[in-house]
Amino acid sequence: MLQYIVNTAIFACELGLVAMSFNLSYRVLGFANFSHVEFVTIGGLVAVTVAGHVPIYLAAVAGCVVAGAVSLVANEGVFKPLRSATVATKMIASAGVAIAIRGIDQILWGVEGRRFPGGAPRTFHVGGAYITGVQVLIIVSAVGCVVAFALILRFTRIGRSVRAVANNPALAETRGISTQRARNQVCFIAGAIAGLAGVLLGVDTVVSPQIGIALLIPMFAACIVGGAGSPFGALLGAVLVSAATTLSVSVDFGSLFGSGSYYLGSQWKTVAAFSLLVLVLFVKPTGFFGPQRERL
Amino acid sequence: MRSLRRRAILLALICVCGAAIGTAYAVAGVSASSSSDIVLGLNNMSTGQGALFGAQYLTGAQVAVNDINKAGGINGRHVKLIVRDSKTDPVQGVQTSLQLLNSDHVDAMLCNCFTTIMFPIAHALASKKTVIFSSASSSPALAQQGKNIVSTIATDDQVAPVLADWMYGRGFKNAGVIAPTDQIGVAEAAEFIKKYKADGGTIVTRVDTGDNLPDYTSEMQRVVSSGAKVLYFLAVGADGQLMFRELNQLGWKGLIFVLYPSGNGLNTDPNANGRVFGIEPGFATGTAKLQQEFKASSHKPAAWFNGVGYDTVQIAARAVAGAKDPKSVTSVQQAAVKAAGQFNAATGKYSFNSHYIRINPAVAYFACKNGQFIEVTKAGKIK
Repeated sequence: MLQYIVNTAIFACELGLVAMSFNLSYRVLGFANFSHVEFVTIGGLVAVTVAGHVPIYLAAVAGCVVAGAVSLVANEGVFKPLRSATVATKMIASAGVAIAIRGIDQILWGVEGRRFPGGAPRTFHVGGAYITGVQVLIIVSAVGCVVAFALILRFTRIGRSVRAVANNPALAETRGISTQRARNQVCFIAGAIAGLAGVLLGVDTVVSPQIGIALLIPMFAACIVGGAGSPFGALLGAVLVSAATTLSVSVDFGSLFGSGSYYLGSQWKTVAAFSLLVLVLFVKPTGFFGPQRERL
Repeated sequence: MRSLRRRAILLALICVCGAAIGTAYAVAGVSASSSSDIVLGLNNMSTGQGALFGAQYLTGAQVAVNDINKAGGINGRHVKLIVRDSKTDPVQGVQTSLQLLNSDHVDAMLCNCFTTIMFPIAHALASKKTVIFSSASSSPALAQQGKNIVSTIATDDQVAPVLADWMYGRGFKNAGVIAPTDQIGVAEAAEFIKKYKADGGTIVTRVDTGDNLPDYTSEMQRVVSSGAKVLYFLAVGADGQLMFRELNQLGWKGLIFVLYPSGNGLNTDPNANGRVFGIEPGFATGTAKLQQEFKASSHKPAAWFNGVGYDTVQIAARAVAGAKDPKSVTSVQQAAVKAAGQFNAATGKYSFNSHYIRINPAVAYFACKNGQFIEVTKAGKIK
């Protein structure tokens, strides 16, 4: 049981950062940006590349900054010119950006998985559950990032302008807030947070050009379960999706089938995530913290 | 209004430039190959889960093309290789095949595609008159997928039992199995389990995994809990690397046995040293110079799949050039069997069964040492 909680917590932290930043960008840009998961990959790849030359925390900062910058460039170069286009057009364009980024990643970094230097992390055996030092760091970093993000949003000038634009862009404009600047700030912040998720995921596992796309489906599920456009709702969504996916492969169904032991294969994780999604949509069509309920 | 007109003009200019570049490219492509060239289409896993195999195969294929063309071609005909990426995806793989056939008009097609991609391709092209040289589908069911196939690798029913014997023979009477739930995983696991049990072994756990998921910790936890000290491990690429890392993080200290180790990427894990073993046909003796060519071309140690790519191009080109009737599938297939004995094959002597599938290749044993797979004896000692 404790191992189940640990596994759920670790994946929820990684997924939560991606889902939270995705929902922030969705709220401000107004469309589902498929390329968002690629900023996860960029963060991981940049950090793993420079990690051999600088301390790990500086590598993490580099990963976040580059991921944020790429997100900003994508917004300025592609999404800004499409501002007046339909949501469907912008979503398709974002899928194109995602494919382009992944292709460039493969050209620059190749296709093989990369590891952060330092060998295998130290593993702790606590109360029957295994957890590595890196995983403890992931939980601490993710929680720290969420708290910092909430404080920035609540108490800084940038945060206030972002909240204003997210809640009512027209009104924000009349109060002298530059919506374009706020969108750029959101793109950078969301990209950087996604980049941090890539760094944490990479430190825990292996960095490859596929790590971002692997998060796409659980991320969407978490965002919708938590409430589309609600950054903090996405965190709850991430916890629920992580719990459901982890549970799906941890339960022994052997007694149901009369056999000794029967576990579902990993491919059922996606089924579990979407089953949860459907279930939540039946009960709460806007997710737990849909846009009607939450103001940033 | 003016800005709109300016944009329209800019868009039109971009379209004209694009069309001009496209036309120039197409013309260049046509003029680059003469009508007498042997045009081989390679449907390759250049990206996606099979990309490591794809990169190795492509290196070998390009070395073969260079070698053939440098030597003046086959019967005076040069070889041209057109490469398209299946992205290790079945739907994309079928589209790529159709492009190679219908747009590129290749004389023969090389499919470096896993079984999950190869079978849909074989189904889509079953009625075509072009021979498909399959190089990465090892399912025994390949024989039933079409009459226009030549396979340059052996099927799992030949290779997986050898691995089962090796594991059991080294004293491991209880094993776990980690297998992706696709056609490759299911088929290879079935062949392995059948032989391992027949030898007297017990499968203590079997974990079915998906592809390209961000986390497998819970599944790996089950492996650790089962007490398995040795695993038959079928996951490849980033998935396999992730699972192995998670096993180590969970404190697992056992050994891993794989098929075709040179392409699975496990050797890059610092924990793989002395713990990951595998079998594959390996390089034939007397191919050291060729292996140097592979290394020089890819800047990486020569891998067995370089050899598969090399051999397949050699066989396919010679089959097309040597067939009595190049438009007849049977004629090209028969020529392929003959062609396999006409050059110094990188992966050893070729024999084919009645379905034109490679049989009984000599198998070499490998162990991971210092980040590389090196050949060992059957007892696991370094040669």
